Amino acid sequence: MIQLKGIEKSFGGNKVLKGISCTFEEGKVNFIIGKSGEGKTVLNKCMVGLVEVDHGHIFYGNEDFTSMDRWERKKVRTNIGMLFQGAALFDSMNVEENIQFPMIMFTKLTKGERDKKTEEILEQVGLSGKHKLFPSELSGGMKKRTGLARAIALNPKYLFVDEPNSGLDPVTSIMIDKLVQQLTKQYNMTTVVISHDMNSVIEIADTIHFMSKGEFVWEGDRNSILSATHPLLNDFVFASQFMKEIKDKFK
Amino acid sequence: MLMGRVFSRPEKFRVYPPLIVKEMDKIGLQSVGIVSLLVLFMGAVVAIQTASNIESGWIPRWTIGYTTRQSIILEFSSTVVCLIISGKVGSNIASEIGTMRISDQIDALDIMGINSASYLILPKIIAAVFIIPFLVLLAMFVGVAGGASIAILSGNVSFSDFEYGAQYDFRIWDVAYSVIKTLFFAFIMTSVSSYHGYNTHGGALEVGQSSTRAVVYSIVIILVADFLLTQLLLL
Repeated sequence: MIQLKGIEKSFGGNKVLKGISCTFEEGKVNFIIGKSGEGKTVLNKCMVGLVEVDHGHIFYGNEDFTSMDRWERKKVRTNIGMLFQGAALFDSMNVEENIQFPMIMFTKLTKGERDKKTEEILEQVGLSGKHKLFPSELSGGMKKRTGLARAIALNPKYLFVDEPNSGLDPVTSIMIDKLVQQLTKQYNMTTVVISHDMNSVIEIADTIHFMSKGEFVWEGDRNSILSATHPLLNDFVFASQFMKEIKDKFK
Repeated sequence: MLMGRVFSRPEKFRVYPPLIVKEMDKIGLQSVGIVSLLVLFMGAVVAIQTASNIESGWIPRWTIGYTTRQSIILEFSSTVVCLIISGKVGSNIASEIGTMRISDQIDALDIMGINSASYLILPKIIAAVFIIPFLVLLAMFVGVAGGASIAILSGNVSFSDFEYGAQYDFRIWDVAYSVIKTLFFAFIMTSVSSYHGYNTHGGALEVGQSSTRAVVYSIVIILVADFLLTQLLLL
């Protein structure tokens, strides 16, 4: 479980996060949605410690991440996996080396054990036999799956996923969504997905937090989002003609 | 502050030796060709220029060998070679680390709990400080040999005169002085380039700008350091 209590962050005079509080539950896919520039990425960076908050607290389980020093955070970080928007694979390493990198850095697994685990993970993400390919040889979907494989290499308790479907075709997008959902349930992770892709939201979201101007203005689940009456949320969800037609049929 | 992180305790010592060896290859071995070519011609040019400036019959011809040796050992092999390497290696380091920054690879390292500054920069500094002095020693040899070849082949000086000049009043301290300077230059070029790469923000355009800044700053700082070290070591 991840708990946010009164998170505030400003850049210069611009207050980007305005006292965000919420709980992301274990074993669930928790979505943060909202328009571009509303503070989703900043919140994500605050949660993983890439940006320091001005006020407020972030709890991983019962541990206050915000009040920890670098070395204490390091222990928490081994329980955090993250899939970046562009996958952020290490260009100089092949698929196998990318996945084994966290194992080499943080475990005492032997080469044989690492290879076995890599094999298992690659099978889970549907990349068996692609060990030796380099990031430049992978398609967008394969990069995301490799990024996901690396993110779960240490069996993390917390998974952060930033825009999992950007730049992917609809079929691959659904495949990545399902993979995130499946891995969340399988490892009982607390998963936080940053997205503005409504297809993903409808497909796999267990909880949804809608962000506007640095605040969560609506919270609910995928069953309630289509019938929600919040005007800002409606403007966002039903922005496209396609979604408007779905809404009319839904009524 | 960045250097504090670079030299703080690494996560796992045993991952560093292979990285250092890889960097030695990139920084050192892959620069052997360009360095050799450069000093070969520098040695030749110094020899020809010296020969063309000796008009007085009172100045012996072996001065060509002496001047070539001193120029190459004291300045060309260390400072000029390091300036060239900082152009090649500095831009490479800044663009490599800068690209990692803009493609979130450095953030990925940080989120994993890895000290990205140490993991990415320390092997480069250690490799450069270790391998570049060897390049400079090679440059001394090739530079003097280049000067000798041209001066002798062009008939400006006999082999025995050049040999006499090249050995005249030879002090090992001059070589040591050059190598000591190189240690500082190697540290400057790798740390300055890494700093600019690490602090890149934006996209491809900014990576290019970081790369340019890395080379310019490295060169300026190396020249200032050259002046200060010369004052300190030779006077």
